[in-house]
Amino acid sequence: MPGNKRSAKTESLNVRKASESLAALVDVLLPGDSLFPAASQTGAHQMLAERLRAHQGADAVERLIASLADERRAFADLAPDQRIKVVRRLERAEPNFFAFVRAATYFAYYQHPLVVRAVRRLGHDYNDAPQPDGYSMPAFDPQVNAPQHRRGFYKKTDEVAPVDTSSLDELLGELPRYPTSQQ
Amino acid sequence: MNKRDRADVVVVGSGMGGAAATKILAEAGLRVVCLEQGKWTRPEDHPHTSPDWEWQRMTNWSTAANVRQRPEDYPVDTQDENPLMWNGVGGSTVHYTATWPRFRPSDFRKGTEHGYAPDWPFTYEELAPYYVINDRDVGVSGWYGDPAMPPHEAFQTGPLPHGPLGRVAAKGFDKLGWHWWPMPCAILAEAYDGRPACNNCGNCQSGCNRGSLADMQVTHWPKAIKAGALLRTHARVEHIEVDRAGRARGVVYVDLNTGTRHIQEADVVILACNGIGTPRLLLNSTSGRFPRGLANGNDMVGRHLMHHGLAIVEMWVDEPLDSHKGIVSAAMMCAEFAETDIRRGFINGLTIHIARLNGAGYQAIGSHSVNTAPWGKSHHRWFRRHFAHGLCALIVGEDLPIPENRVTLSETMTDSSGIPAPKVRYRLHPNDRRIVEFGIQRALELAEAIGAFDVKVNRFEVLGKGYMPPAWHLLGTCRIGDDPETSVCNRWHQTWEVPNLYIMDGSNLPTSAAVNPTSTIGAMVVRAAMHLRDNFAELRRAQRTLRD
Repeated sequence: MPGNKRSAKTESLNVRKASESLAALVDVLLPGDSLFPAASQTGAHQMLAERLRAHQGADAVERLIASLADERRAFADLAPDQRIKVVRRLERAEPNFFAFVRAATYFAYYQHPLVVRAVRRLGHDYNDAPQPDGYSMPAFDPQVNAPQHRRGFYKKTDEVAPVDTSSLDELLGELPRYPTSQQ
Repeated sequence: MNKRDRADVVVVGSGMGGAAATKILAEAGLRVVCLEQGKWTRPEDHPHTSPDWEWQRMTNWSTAANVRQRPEDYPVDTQDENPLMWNGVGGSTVHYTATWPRFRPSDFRKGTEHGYAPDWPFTYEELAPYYVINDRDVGVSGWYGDPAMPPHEAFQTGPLPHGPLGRVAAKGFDKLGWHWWPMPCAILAEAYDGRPACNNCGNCQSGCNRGSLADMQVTHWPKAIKAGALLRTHARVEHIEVDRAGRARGVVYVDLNTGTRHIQEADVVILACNGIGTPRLLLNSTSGRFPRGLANGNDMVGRHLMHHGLAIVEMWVDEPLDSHKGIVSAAMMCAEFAETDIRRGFINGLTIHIARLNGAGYQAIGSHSVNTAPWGKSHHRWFRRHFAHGLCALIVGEDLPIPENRVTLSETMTDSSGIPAPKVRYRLHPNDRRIVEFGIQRALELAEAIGAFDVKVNRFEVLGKGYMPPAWHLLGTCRIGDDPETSVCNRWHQTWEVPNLYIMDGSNLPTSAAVNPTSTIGAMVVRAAMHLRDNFAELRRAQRTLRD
């Protein structure tokens, strides 16, 4: 039916536009530079969508897309400066929701092999995942790592004696008091 | 009600307390059944080999049951905190940091020292032999000879690697003239007892898929089961049954696989469900004889909840610190301010723990101090400067046992079996706020001493809510004591009201000290379980609770 076809086409366009908007959003959050890829190159926008639906509700992606629209223009259609303004607006208006979006994006980004590779190129020994390799670290060397000082003290059991708390009466006033043991 | 079963002892909960008690009693030839509402965690269940390991740590491996919401979890009705707990075999040792300091002698004598907390019913010296026994089962790494602690047996292995982070922090403490010492940890620096050494992967809080960290699944349970203990998983205990004489008859539990209810009868019942789960179970065990809940005639059950006062100060330096490598917490501890000194303006004390910052994603979202990397063009510049250059100073302050800080039953929330959820109310006392603030100022001095270019303080203050801690330690809600009016259990962990009902977990601690509690919980439970074992013939039939 012609009506259904038009509706399906519109829906397809909307889905595409939403995907483009999410990609544009993650690139505003994490643009690329000479070493690091832009977030959309890592698929962070797709993972963001999954995580939004899993943890913020089934309609969370649509809610985000709606929050990013500016005067009925999709986020993907905005100029770069305008996108930044819109993200700042979202950050101010919905700080908790924005914090989730940012965290989900950051985590998605830093788990991607391209980004892990970039972290390594900074000179860090950094694994794709903690195991199975772990990290090689020099064992504790008593000559280098052991404390050389003799600082530190403790009160022995029989040295524990009542302290004068009268200067703290106002602070501690309403607290219950306990007797000393007879041991 | 379906299946009936009878044991010498039924233990509820399989964490540090439940595991240690079960092992000791089963090795003595007693028939011990342990009921655990969760399941075993297999090595492959941990997220350590997955690229999304950091996201999992924040979600399905979150330390907070309210975030995880796994089928075996129960909700916690609270606006005050995000308590850490794991509902599965091993309890919260499945995802703790295994930081293993002992309490110090004065921690057992706060009644004598200032009187705003009780003396323990025994001294450090009385507990010391049981620290040794438990440490051998657990496997502890550390460096012997700390002048800030009484001498004791050497550790099972040497200390874990310090790395550049440890060297920088040590230099800072030395410059300030403060005490520091490698932190004892229940994580192996060398192979021990059939378990491998830690390989410094940096993801301790999603558990340890190697068995290097002392998860009770790899330390105690294999030995307890070999000795004949029966560990029944997916068994969620609903309440404790009592007989006409007021003795515990056993516990009623829900098989989470079928939804059916069963009774496990036993001569002795031991609760080891942590500082929130244990009072919840007692309060849910009402009857005509015990209308306020079991062992609660004096209204002490659930009160005096303690977590430690907590703040985190993070600092970043020019020198690379490899903050993503090695155990998360803690490389070392400063006990310079652990003893009470009234001139500071508060009673009790604090310790400062030097910890690490996890992976790149976590460091970008601000690691433990919420120093979140900016979004936009400056992000990568920030990341280059900060990643692997930070260290974390945890301020761990002793919190006072306040009667109003308590666990009750929720009137609105239940778990998936319809059992009322625990309701938790917790506020930090002004004395304890002063401790935390004092510690923050000392950590800021450390930051200056190491030449930090950036510092961030996390006071765990949430807008509109106030102090809202992660509540890693669940303590004090069924404390031991010599006075039946102000405690729930006697010095042998036997409840004052029900002579064959015992509590063996963090809820027993009369005070919190200023360090992580699991080594002390383990030692206390070993002591209590050995006493029960050695006097079992008499205690299984006890009609009265021991008075001394």
